[in-house]
Amino acid sequence: MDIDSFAGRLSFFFNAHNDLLEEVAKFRAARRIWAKVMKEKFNAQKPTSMMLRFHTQTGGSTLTAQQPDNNIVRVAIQTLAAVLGGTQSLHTNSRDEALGLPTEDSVRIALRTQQIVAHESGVTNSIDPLAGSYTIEKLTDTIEEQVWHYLNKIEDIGGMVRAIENGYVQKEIQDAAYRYQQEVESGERVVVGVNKFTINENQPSDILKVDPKLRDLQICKLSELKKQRNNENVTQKLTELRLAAQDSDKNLMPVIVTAVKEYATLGEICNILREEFGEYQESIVL
Amino acid sequence: MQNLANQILKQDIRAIARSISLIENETDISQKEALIDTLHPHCGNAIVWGITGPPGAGKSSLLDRFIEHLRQSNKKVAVIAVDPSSPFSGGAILGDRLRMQKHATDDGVFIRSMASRGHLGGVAGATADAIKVFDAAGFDYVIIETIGVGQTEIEVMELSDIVLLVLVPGLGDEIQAMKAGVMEIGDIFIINKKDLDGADRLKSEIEYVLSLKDSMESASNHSICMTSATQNDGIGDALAQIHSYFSSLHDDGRLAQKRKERIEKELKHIATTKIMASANRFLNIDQRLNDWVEEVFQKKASPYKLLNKKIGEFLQELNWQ
Amino acid sequence: MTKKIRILIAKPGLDGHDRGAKYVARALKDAGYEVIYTGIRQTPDAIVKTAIQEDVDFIGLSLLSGAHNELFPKVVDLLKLKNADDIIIFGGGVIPESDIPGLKEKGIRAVFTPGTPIKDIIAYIESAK
Repeated sequence: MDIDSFAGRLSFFFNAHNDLLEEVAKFRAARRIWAKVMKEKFNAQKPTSMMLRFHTQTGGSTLTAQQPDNNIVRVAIQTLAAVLGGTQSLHTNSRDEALGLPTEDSVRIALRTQQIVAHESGVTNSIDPLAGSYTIEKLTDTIEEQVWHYLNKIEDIGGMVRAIENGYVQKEIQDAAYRYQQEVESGERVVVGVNKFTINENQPSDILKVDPKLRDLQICKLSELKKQRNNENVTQKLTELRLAAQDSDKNLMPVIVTAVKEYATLGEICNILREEFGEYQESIVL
Repeated sequence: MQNLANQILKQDIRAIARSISLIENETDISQKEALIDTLHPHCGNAIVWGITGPPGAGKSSLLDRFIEHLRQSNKKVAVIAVDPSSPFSGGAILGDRLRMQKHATDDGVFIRSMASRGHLGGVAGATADAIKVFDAAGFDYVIIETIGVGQTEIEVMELSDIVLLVLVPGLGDEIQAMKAGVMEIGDIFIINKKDLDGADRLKSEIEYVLSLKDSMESASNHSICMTSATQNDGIGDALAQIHSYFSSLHDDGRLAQKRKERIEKELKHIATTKIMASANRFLNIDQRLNDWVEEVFQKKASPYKLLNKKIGEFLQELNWQ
Repeated sequence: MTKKIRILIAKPGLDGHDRGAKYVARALKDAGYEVIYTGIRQTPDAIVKTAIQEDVDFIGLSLLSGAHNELFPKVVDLLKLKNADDIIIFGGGVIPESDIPGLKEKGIRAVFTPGTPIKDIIAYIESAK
C-alpha cells in the first residue's frame, strides 16, 4: 500500500499538562519526529503525509479536588500549551472533574477557556509562535532525543504491540506516575491547594448528581425500541456483521452502519464483536 | 481443626481460602500440621500441573484458555499463582490472576495468588501444602504458575506431575538461560504466540536441546506444542498432548515414581526444617553461643568436645516425640 | 511469623481510570502489604469471590464514574451474603463529600478522596487491621 494514499488521514491524541514550555516543546518534537519517520522510514512524498495532526485533551490527573476553581487556571495554561504547540483540536476539562461529573456551568467555563484563547489571546495569529526561543528550541531538541531513545528501545523489543503485551510501555507510564505522586507526597513537587497554600474549605455544594432513575428510563427506552424495530432485519444485519468479522479482509464499518440503521443497539453490535474477537486483556506490570 | 478439615472436604470456599492463609502465615504451625495430616488420606486424586516460562511468554493467558477448556468438560480447576515478594518491603503485587479474572465468578474455578515471601521453608513448602488442600477439596486439576527463573521456581515446579514450559519466539538470550535450568524440568514445551516470526526456528532449537537431553536419558516422550492464547488457537491440541502425556506417565508407573520422589523430597524438607529450627533453638538458649565463643576463644574449651557434649545433653532434654 | 496483611484493590464499574488504583496498589506493596489487583471493569460478584478466594483482610474499591453509591454497597451486601463481612472495605476515587456519610452507613468503613496522602491510607489500615 502506498504510504501517501492514507498517511494524510492519520491523526494523534495527546495530553497537555501544566509545564507550559515543556508541553509546547513536546508537541513540537512530536511534529518533527513524525515528519522524519514518514519521510525517512516510509519514504512519504506528499507534505501532508508528514504533517502530524493531533487532538489534545487537558490532563485529567492534574485536576485537584481542593480549591477546584484553581483548575480553571490549570486548564487555561494547558490549553495555551496545546495551541502554542500547534494542536488541531482540543478538549478542555472542567474544573470540578475531581469531584464528580461536571456541571453545566463548569463545562461552559471549560469551553469559554478555549474560545478566549482562540479569539482574544492572539496566539493563533502565527504558526509556531515560540520557534526560535532558546529555551523552546533546546527543550524540543532534548525531548526529541529522548523520544528517539524510546522509539529505538521499542523497536528493539519487537514493536509497539509487543512492547504493550510484555508491559514495557505500561511500566514506563506507571513508574512515571508513581514518581510524580511520590514527589507530591514528599512536597518536592508543589501542587497548589493540595500540599501547599491549603485552606480549610467546604466542597462546593453544586456538584452534579446523576439521577439513578435515568438508568431505568434508558432501560425502558431500550426495551421499547427492541419491541418496535424490525427484529428480523436486525438479526440479519447482526449475522452479516458476524460473517464480516470472521473475514479478516472485510471492512466492518459499512456493515455496522447498516445494522445501526435497523436500530441494532451498541450492546448487540459489541457483543457480536466480543464473541468473534474476544476481549482485550490488559497486561499489568506494577 | 477437624472442623476446618471437614469444611474443606465439603468444598467450602472460605475454609479452603482460610486454610491456605494458615499454611502461608505459619502463625500456628501445630494447627497447620494437624490440618495437613487430617487431609492427607483424602489426597492423591488431583492432577497437578506446573506452568512456567519467562515473563511475557503468555503463561496466564494460556492458563486462562486451558481453564476455559477444562471447564467445558466440567473439571474443577484450582490455580496457585506465585509472584515474587519485594526483598525490601516484604510486600508484593499479585497480578497473575488478572488475565484469568473472567473465571472469578465460576464456582468451579479457584484462583489463589501467593507471594514467595522467603520465610523458613520457602514458598515450595507452602505450595506443597496448598496443593493438598485443593486436592482434598476435590479439585480435578491443581495448576501452579510461576515466573521461570531461579532455584525456587524449580522447587515449586517439582511439586507437579507435569511441567509445562511456555516459550515465545524472539527471546533469543532467554532460551539460552532456560536451557541451563528450567529446560531440564519441562515435560511439555509450549511455543505460544506461534504466529510470530521465529516460532518454527524456536521449535527446532528446542528439538535440538531435547535430542541432546534424551540421548543421555532413557527414552522420554517430550512433546512440543504450538499455540496462540490470544487467538485461541492450538489450545485443544496442547491439552490433548498434555492428557496423553499424563496417561503414559500413569500407565507405565512413572507417575507413582514421580509422586514418591515428591514425598521423599517433602519428608526431607520437613525433617531439615524441623531439625534446623531445633538447632537454632539449641544455639540460642540463654544466648549461650556467646559464652561458648568466649570459652573457645580463651582456650578453656575445644570446639568438638564442647559441642558433642552439649548436643548430647540437648537431645536428651528435647525428648523427640 | 506474623500474619501478612492481604489487600484487594478492585475497580468496579465501567470507568477505566486506573492511575489512582495502581498508585495505591504499588504504594501499599512498598509499605509491606500483599496486594492483589483485579484490573478494571469488575462486577461486585467477581470482586467478592476474588476477595474470598484470596482471603484478603481489606478490599479497596476505586471508582471515578459516579456509580459509587450503587456499586460500593453491592459489594458490602454480597460479602454479608457470603458470611465474609469481616473483610474491611474502604473506597476512593471521585466521590463527593456529601456522599461519604451515606456510604459509611452502608458499610464502607473509610473513603479516601483525591489528594489523600498514602500515609493516611496506611495509617487507616494499621488502625483497622
